[in-house]
Amino acid sequence: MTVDAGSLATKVVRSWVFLYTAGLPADARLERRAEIDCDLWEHFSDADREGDAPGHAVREALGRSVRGVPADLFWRLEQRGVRQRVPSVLGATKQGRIVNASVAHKGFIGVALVFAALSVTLVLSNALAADDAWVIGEYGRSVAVLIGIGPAVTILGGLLASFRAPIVGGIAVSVGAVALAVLLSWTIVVPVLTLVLVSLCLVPARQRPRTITS
Amino acid sequence: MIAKRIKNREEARLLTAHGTLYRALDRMREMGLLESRWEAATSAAAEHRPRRRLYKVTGAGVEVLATARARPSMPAILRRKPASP
Repeated sequence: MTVDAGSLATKVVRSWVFLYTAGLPADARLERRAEIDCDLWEHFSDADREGDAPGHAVREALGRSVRGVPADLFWRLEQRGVRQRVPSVLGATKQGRIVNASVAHKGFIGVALVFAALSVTLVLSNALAADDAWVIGEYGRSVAVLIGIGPAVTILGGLLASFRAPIVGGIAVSVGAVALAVLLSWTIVVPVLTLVLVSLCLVPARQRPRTITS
Repeated sequence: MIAKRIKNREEARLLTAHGTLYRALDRMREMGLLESRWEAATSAAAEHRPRRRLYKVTGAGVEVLATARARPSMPAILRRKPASP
């Protein structure tokens, strides 16, 4: 029974690993799966050798997997913006400096820029239009403009941040995009663009390493 | 094996979570504190088990660990020297 529970636990953990590594580049995907396979094998072998109570090893293996879920998800997001340490041409030959390479996601940047520009235009055109729909007065209008522009600024700020900190940048862009989609849901275009943008944050991208020499 | 060592230290049990452990090892490797290699497939096959990833602390890693141990604000677990294997 312990053996059955053990193999079931192994299957559950391996399924989770299979899920969160799916779609990643082969080296990252296969290495993580191999690491966990080896870990599980060692875990159950040790438990057998040490005569652990039935079920204890199973609970422990599942617990270790569950407790690691947040870190797994962060790791997955990190793979989108793989930070490589590569020597820059200049650094390798003259200064011997190893710099942190940052990566740029072309599609992500393009859509985010279009999205931010469109959103700012929509918010400003609404806020500045002199029509009677604004029944909240000048002060209310100023607040509304700020509320509308806030997410756009968040998107642009996140976009800039994504060059150095892909996760923080991606989260900021997603938060700004979702906020704007809610504010401008009537436009239909913005919510659709939001879906595209948030998907680009999650989907592994083909990225071009950029070496920073400064 | 790393997880088993950590598990025996009460204050570090949380680090044994799969995601936490391998993410931390990845980061230390990227920072140049650890080196790793996969053992030869033949050794693993001979013992009918999956291949192990073998880690080695680099010179930079030893320095960082020594600095961390010397710092009084570091958690007790980092200040304590590991028991000999």
